[in-house]
Amino acid sequence: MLNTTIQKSDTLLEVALEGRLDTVTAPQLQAALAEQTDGISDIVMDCAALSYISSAGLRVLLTARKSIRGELTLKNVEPSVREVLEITGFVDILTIE
Amino acid sequence: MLKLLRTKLSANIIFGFVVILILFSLLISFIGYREFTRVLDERYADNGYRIGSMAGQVLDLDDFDLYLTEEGRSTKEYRTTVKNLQGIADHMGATFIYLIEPDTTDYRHIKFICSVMEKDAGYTLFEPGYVRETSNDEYAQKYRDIMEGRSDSAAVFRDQFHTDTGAHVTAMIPATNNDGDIIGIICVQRQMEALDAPRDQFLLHLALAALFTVLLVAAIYGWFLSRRVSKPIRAIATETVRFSRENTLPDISLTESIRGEDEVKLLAMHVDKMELAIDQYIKNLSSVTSERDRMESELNVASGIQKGILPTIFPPFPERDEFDLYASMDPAKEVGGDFYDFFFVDDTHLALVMADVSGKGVPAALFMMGSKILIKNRAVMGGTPGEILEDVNTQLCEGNHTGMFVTAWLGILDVTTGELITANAGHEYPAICRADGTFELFKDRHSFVLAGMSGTKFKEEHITMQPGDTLFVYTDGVAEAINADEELFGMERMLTALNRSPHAAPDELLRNMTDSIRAFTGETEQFDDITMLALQFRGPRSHLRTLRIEACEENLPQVIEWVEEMLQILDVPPKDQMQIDLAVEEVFVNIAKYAYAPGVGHALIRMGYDMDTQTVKLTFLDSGISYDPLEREDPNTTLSAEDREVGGLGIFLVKKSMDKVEYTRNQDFNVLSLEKKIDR
Repeated sequence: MLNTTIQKSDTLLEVALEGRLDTVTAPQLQAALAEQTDGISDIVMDCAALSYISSAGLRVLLTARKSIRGELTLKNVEPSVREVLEITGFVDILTIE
Repeated sequence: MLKLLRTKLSANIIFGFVVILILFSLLISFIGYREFTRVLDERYADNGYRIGSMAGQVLDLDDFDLYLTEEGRSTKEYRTTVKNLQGIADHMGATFIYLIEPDTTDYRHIKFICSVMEKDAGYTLFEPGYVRETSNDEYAQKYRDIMEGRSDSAAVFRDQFHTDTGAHVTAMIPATNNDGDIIGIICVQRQMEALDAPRDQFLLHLALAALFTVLLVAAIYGWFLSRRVSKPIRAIATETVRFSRENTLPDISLTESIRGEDEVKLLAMHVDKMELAIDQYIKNLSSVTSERDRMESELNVASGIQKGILPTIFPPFPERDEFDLYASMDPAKEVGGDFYDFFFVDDTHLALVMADVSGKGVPAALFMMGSKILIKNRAVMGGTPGEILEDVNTQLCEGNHTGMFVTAWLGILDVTTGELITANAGHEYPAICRADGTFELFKDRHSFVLAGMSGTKFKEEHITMQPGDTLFVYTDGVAEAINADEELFGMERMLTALNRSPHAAPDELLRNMTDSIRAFTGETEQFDDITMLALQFRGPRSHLRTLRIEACEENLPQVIEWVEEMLQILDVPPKDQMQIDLAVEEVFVNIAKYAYAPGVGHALIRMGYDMDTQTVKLTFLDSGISYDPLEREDPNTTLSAEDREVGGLGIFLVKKSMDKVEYTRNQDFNVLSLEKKIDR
């Protein structure tokens, strides 16, 4: 289960994630982002309610990161999710706040 | 080999033949010579007698004074007598004619009365009245014969070769007076000219004729021998040498090439027959040999098939930790009649089979294949060992015309409780070692053998296996192994071998047993199949759950839910829970995406928890293409976002979040085992 709330303002896309970003839900976020990333240079994701992320989720994040010129920022990352990001080296290519 | 012949058969035979011929010619010559001489002697003697008789007519035989006194010799009568005698001698060819008066006392001396000599003889005559010693006994004997009236004629021959005075005869007749008294002997000596010269020629001719005949006969006979004996025998010898070297039949048989109807031909015919028989025998032998090679290679394949049908990969159930199992079979021949088997009839019930088909070799192996398949197929349909064996027995009895039978022990173990139900169809007693004890025979109640009699009921026994207990089942090949002194290994030795290390793991236990049997039998050939199975029950230490599910991404939530359900029961902390979730998702998605692509298949997930070590154990099985995910290289996590590849992180995350990850390919399955120790 994943709920996504997306807000677009000028070149910034703000996304709030709630639930699990896994193999089942990742395509859903992938599709939502693909619709919105025209003219976007930066993305900020609020991960306060994201309890879980798998390699499928990471793939979406990396694809999103590659599609914009600016930064992909993750806010309020939970420790367990943060550990996954650290293991995989994603902390170096994304901005974690 | 023929070069070794120093002498030839024909030469030997001819040499002997020539010697005999020469001896024979000598004999003939001798007889001819004797006959020739005898005939001539007789002629000369007769002639001599006639001359003597004529001389008798001339001589005055009443008064010797005419010859012995000077007055007598001066008479005209004397001169006439001598003249007439001289005439007879000259005309009749007598060398001497003389009248003698032998000394009749012992005939050692003779007195010459009157003598004449052929005119050209050249000898000196004895004067009348001259007394001389008799020449030899032969003369003396002949004189006596005539003087005493025993014979009216006698002759002495000097007819040997080259007598000094030439061959001659002295013919003697009695001189009888007018009163009929024998008063002396008239002797006529004649040369036997007709004997001397012709005799040499006769002998020469005879010798030449004999030599010629001998040479001619030897040549003809030699030719004949060589043609009919030597050559054929050499041909036979050459052929036998060739045959022994080449082992092929000749282009032209000896019978065809050798003529005649004699013993040599017979020998040739028998050599031909012998070669034919040997050739046939060699062909037979080579066909028998190739047949045997074919049988041997078929037996090897059969042996492979038989070994293949028995489960031989240990541990057989790597995801199971309720028990430890090991089994082995050493057939005495290429194929055997023993078998063991083990398999799960459902998630929690393990069937164990130990059986021995009567007899050995191929028939036993064929019956074994059928029995093994029947037992397994019937067992997986469910039921207790007694029911299973009853049905299998019915099937085996059908059409069992050869009187084969099977002794079998069947046990079904509930791995969650250790409850073991067994049935024994005439098989050996199992041995059980309790966790705190040693191996002892479990004397279960026997039922009749399988395939022996339809309608047999099979009694069941209930045994409760406690953690640490070990079960040992085997065939009679163990107890009946024989050493050089024909002693049996026996149950005592078997239990002793087991109890050397009773709590050892099953594989070690079987190795110990094999070693003990080998040490006992030494070099003695294995007589019977040796088959053993040991199971050590560890107990239901892990809480085990199994999920069988189609491997597709849509089923992921169901899998996660199933995993979390157990993790919540176990009260696993959220952090560990998330890591386990992550690993389960990555592995399951991997199977869903790649294992059966482009088709679909199932995944089997077993999940357990070892309370002793506080470890969650997860095993994923799929029957897709063989693939070891752990071989894949870890992604480089230090690259920039632009250089990083999308993907390849899943297995890396599994390795990082689990304490132990292992891959094995077990028969047709990919088996990936995960362990996660829980921090409480």
